[in-house]
Amino acid sequence: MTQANSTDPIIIAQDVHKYFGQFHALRGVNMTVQKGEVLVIVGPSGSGKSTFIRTINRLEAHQKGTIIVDGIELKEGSNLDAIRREVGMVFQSFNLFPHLTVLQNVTLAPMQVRKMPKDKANALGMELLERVGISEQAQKFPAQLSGGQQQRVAIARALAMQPKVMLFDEPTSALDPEMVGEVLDVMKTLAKSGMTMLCVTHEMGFAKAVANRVVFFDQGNIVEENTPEGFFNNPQHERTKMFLNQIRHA
Amino acid sequence: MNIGALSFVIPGVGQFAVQTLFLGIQYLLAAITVWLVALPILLSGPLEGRIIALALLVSLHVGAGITAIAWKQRADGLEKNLAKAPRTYRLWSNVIAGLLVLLLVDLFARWLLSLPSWSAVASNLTFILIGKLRAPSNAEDLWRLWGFVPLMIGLVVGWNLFRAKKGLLGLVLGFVGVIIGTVILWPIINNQVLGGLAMSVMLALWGIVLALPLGMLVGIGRISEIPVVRISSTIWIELFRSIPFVAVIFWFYICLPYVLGQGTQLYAVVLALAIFTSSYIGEIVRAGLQSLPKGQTEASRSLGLSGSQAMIQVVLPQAIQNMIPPLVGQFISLFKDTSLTSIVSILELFGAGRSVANRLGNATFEIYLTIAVIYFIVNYSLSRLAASLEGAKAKER
Repeated sequence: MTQANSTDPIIIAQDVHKYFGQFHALRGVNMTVQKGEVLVIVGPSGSGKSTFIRTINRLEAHQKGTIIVDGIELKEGSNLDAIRREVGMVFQSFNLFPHLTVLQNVTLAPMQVRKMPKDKANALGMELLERVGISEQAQKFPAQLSGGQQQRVAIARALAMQPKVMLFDEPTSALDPEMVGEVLDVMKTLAKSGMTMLCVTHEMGFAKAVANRVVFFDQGNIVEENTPEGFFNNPQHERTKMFLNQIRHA
Repeated sequence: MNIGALSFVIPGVGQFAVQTLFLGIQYLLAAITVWLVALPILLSGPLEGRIIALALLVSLHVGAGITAIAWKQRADGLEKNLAKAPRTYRLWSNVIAGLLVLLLVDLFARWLLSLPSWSAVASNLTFILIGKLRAPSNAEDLWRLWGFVPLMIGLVVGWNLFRAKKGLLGLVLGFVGVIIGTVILWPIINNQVLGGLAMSVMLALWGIVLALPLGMLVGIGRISEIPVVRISSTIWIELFRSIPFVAVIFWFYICLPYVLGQGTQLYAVVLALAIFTSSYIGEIVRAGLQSLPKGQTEASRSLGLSGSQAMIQVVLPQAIQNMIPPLVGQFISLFKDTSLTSIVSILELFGAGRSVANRLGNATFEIYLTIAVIYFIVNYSLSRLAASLEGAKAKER
């Protein structure tokens, strides 16, 4: 797991700027992600890392610069639903649909968006729940599951659209410590299956195990890009060293 | 000798002696009130009034005495169970208050029954309930009142299916019921025939049937991302919320027949009810939608669901749960608002009652009391029904 095995960019971001009112949240971010690459994004809170991955499926619109995902440029009027079908997202707070069962959570999008027949969608849903290890909970409602199980359902739900890219927005930071492992295991398996992944996370073990690159965000831009080994053992930038010290002592 | 026993003679004195000053004042004031009410009845009231008054006075003195003794024992440390004194106090204050209320209700009921014109109310009750439909010339149309049965069954069944997430089936069944009921009722839906409570129910049902979809539309429109939709929905809601309902009724009653032709005054009134109510329902819908965490929409959109798919599949089913209690409140409010249509001479419950009261001249109080009781019965059972539906729903979860 050192380098991505192709030079086929699936995400190209150039000079991306984002404002929240007066606040300049992203200040000219440039990033290229290859197919099959696993990218870990770290940075202090408010650094723009979450905002950046949210611009990739346009949950946030950027005001300047270009973002191209799988050959389609993200801009006003382009086919956003088509891009969102290609990009799965997992949220910090799970955002499962509480009125639907676990299985219905997974099958909703394939049935509504891809118009998949119900029995086929159910088979796909059960297969995905099997993959994340909670097929026996399929008929329960999300509120009946633990946080770790809910997050694994959320991953299965995102995978149900068979996305080419998966975005993870701090997927483990709302979890109790003993549940972090089960979610990271699912993510590791996913990474090894060749999925392109962008993960905002501070789990260093995960980064070392599967990431191709670690990107450090601060004040709305990328400060340092490095291999996991280089990033954690031999950081180049002062700001990065400070940050790593802080999270190690936390 | 326990000094609290003084309260057997004069309630409150014992409490003063045990130095529970506040209780003493309470008991003294209560005793004065009770004696003021009970004494005249004891001397010259009806038999059951005298009995209740006597029981009340005895309870007052016994209760005050026992309570004061308990406090004294507590103060001396004799009584191990420290909760006994407050408990005795609570028990006796409830007994005394209950008897006092019973006494007053008895007096009021006697006064009501002694009013001279109840027979006039009784002979006009059918008019208050169904209006001119009771006239012998309309006898062959009387059976048409059964049309309310499919109408109401359709609405209740439809509503419950809607709640049980079988929305489409619920809508279809509800619609079929409403149509069958309306077809049966149609020939008598006329201000010259139908009236009274039946007319009120008719106005309220059609009002809600039209107001619900309209309110949904403007409520969702109000938070739309499309400026034209958002602005026009906002204008709709703010306009009708800022105008008194009476003015809206007059508007529609006067203007609409110019467009729809003469004889459409009743439809104009129904439309006024529906549109006025829709603005309030719009606000309920908006609040319900905005009460959901933003993450629900974001998750739906990130899965590739379109805006309307996210609304129908994810947001609405959850938001409706939050909207139901205020919607029931709005429906009750709508039922009461139908009384305002009497000012354009619709003979619904209130209008029918007023016309009877004006005609008789000597039964005004009895008539309006009867009407108030009918409104109360209908609305209170509605709110109980809604609460029990909610309770059943809550148990399922």
